Amino acid sequence: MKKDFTYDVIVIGGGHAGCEAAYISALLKAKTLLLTINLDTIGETPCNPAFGGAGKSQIIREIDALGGIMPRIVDRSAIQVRMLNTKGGAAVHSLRMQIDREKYRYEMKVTLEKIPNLYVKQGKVKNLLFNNNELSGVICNTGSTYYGKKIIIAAGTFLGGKVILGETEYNAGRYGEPGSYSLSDNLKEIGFNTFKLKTGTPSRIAGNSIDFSGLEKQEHENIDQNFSIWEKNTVKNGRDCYVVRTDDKVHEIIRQNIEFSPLFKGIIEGKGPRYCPSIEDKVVRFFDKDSHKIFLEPEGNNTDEWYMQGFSSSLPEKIQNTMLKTIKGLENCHIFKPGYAVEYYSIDSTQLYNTLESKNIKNLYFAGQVNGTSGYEEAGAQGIIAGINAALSLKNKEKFTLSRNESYIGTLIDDLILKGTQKEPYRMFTSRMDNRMIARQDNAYYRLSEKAYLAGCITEEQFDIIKKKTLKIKEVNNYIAVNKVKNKTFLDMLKTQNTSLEDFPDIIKKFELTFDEIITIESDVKYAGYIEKHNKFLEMNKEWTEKKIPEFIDYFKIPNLTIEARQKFKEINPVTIGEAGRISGISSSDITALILYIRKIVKW
Amino acid sequence: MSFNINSNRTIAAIATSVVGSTIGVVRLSGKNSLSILNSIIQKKINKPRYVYLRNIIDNNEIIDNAIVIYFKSPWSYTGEDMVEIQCHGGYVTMRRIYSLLLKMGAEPAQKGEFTKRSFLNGKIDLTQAEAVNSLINSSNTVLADNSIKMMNGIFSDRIKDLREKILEIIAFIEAYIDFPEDDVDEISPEYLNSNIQRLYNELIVIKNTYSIYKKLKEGIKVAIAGRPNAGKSSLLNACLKEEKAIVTHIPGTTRDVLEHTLYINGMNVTIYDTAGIRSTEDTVESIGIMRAEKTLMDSDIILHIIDASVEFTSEDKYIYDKIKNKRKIIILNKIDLGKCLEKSFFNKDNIVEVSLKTGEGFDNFECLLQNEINIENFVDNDFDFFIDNERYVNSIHKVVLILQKILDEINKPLEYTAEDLKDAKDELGSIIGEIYHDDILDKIFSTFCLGK
Repeated sequence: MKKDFTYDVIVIGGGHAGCEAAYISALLKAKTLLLTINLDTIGETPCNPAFGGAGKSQIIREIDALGGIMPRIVDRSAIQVRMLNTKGGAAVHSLRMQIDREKYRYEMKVTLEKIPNLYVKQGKVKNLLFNNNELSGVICNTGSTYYGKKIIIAAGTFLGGKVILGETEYNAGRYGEPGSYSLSDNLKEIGFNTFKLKTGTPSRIAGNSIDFSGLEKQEHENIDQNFSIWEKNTVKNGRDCYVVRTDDKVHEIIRQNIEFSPLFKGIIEGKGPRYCPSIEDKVVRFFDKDSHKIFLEPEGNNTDEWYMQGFSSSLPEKIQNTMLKTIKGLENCHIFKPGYAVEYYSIDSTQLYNTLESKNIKNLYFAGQVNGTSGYEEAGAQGIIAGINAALSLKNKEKFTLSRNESYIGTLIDDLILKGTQKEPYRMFTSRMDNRMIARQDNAYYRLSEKAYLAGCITEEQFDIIKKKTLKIKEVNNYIAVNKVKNKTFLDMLKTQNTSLEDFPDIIKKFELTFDEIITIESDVKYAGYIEKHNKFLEMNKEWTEKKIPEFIDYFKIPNLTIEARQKFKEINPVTIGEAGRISGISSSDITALILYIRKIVKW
Repeated sequence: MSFNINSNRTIAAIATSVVGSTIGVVRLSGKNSLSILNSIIQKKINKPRYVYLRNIIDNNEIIDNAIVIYFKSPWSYTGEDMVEIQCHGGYVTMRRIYSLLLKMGAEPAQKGEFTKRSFLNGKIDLTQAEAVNSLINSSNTVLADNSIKMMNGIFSDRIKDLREKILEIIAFIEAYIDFPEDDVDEISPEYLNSNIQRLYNELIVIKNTYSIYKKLKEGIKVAIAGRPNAGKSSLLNACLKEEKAIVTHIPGTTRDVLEHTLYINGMNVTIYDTAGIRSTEDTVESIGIMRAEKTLMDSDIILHIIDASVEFTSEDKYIYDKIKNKRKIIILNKIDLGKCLEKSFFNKDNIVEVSLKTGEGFDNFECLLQNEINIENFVDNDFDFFIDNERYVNSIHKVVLILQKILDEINKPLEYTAEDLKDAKDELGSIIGEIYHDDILDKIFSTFCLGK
């Protein structure tokens, strides 16, 4: 009987972090329980119905390289495919897909249901259970207890969640769904620093009430692109998005009604993301801008709901309604669901290791929005890292981490554990990368698959596919370095700005190169100088960056270290010198003082 | 973040002043110190703390004869392997040896890097390091005035301002890349070109102020010119208030250029006594005259001394015409022997009447000379400060090269430009010791209205 209530890994939350964590954990043969408040909202996409885009497509491809589930589900439920940033090179190319929300949820749910070792269950966790000060399980509000060796909290916006709309506010995790309050209190009790963040979502409107004629169209692109390399999916009858624009009428309504905005009245205390401001925020902060762009995105093929990207608002529904009706094309629109703001608690992610395990409570992991991030992809990335580490640590295997230099996921987690998210919810951008010319969406597999294979995340067959591709690319590289056209090697030709590998169809045919392989080969040539420079820089600093800081160090005993640095080091407790140096506000002289001191107390 | 204390780098620097000393020291510190030294001397050395006399060789040519000492880690100033080369003083020799070391693989030391390494290796503590720093920063008054300005941030404010401008361009590009569907204007080559060209020009101006510093360090060159026996050596002696040049009444005694360094108005002033200029059959003397003419042309101020007790001779006129376009003071000497030449003969020039024999009028001369020795007379730049460190020049030069590269490749995809600009931004940051990476996003969000 107890066997049915005992697991290796318990994942709390069935959103993007939770699904990813539970999936990979089960794949790594850990008996895994996925607890969700509502079975039917597994894989919910509560904000815009799209995955990928700048900084995010790269993450999805990395999740795919690590054997995750998100990329496959996105491919299966896609209704529009676009490649963004094609004016730039591969470093900034970003695949983006609109998805069918219902299909996404459905695909995720049925996929997870069928995974061996994975047990999905409806239940809301009240608090964590400890046995002799060791984490041992969770207690649900139904009274049931589930025992687990590792627990991953992926609670999204549900911790202490509050929905705010105009002057109305009430407890909820999302619109129409209950939040999680006792767990939130429990985490505070056991020593986690928490703080309030805010996010928002726009209204959903009825498609049959929109006059699409004369609206700028954003079309589905017929490109042969998937997020996942492991299965082939094609979008049939791709859907279009549309663009509408606000004008002074909308801005005037906002200005006149700003007193009703919970944001400006101070009802909302949490910090919202600057990259995702509400329409009222945009109008107030960028008052000289006379128009803001709004995208109308279909939420699926079986629904008439349309998402209004760029029109997030927490003004009362009545005012949202008035504003919308002044916009060309929306004169007669019907609101299915008004926009609203959500305030929720996040934990301070600097309390975590780069495995996403808590520094204070062993065997407890945190992933996703609960760590103060925003975005499905960011959540999934953390889910897979937490899931892999939880499962690996059961067998006392080496921890699984990615570095900033090899991946977006590594950068994301490094930023989380060293910088935290108290300033605003964290979203990934390509500009956060130290060198985005190295980590690109086209080469995720060559960067990460070996690691994934060694950890057991992908099968031998999967890894063989990557090895073959790697070998083929190597052959092409050798071929173009030696073979010439008009006294110039292909390699030298490729180095010039306007030459592409596609200019040599014979090579493509000879090696049967796919679109992504072409991009990879070409980009490595074009970015070579930059990549080399970056690697040289890393090599130069390696001597220090990888040195471990002794665990028993007392930062307050270090002479010549600024007070600020002592406090930050103590708070964040960096593991290596490199980590210490990346904490914001830490200067190179602080680092030298630290190095000097450590050299005195231990033999490095 | 770069820690800049990678012990794999072997650094080199000129340790002593390049002016006013007969012996100079060039130092190396780091792993390869000894091998670099051995690659530039004729007979290799390996014993630490022994003094060797060696020829310094560049391309099979002996460039100096120097004392070299090898210090083995940790028994050295920095705690690393070190080499000290005691060579002949003067800018040229020391510079040649220094450049040779760089050619052999050493890297230029950053300001205070020997002391920093010493500190990092636990040889001295931070307060000692700071003390060393203030000690070596003693300077003359003009340099000191500038240092105070630099201390108060006049230079770092300019660098911060330039970095901010670069940041604005980066933010623009990054916003365009990270928000491809938002209302971010496309970045035109014209926008990039005009903005980067402006930064480029500004940096060049700052970089060029280093010539002021160099001028101050090298000093002002004052040459004494005049036909034989006009009193050139007497003038020099009067200036030095000691008998260095041999003063005789036989024309042509000073056959070469003698030089002496004085300290006037907070600046180093080197006075050159030249051979009398006249036509001669004497080969030795004619070589002297050629050198004298070159010295005159290279100098900043010429003291043209003319015997006023006799007529203005063709030799006087020869010199007078030769130095027509140079900054000068005309000294009518020997007025104790009766004035044959009047001031009015030369209408507009800086002119003074003296008798070097009796000392009459010498005060007036000194007054005139002091007025002439003013830094603003010798530099073109209209400057509010000048940079006084080769490290700044090197960094600014690197930034200039990066900007030049961007200008040359203005049509490349924007991620290249962004990458280059980030390098430029960090290089500027390294001048003031501040490198940030979080600043780009802050700039993006404060400038653009973005997001869903």
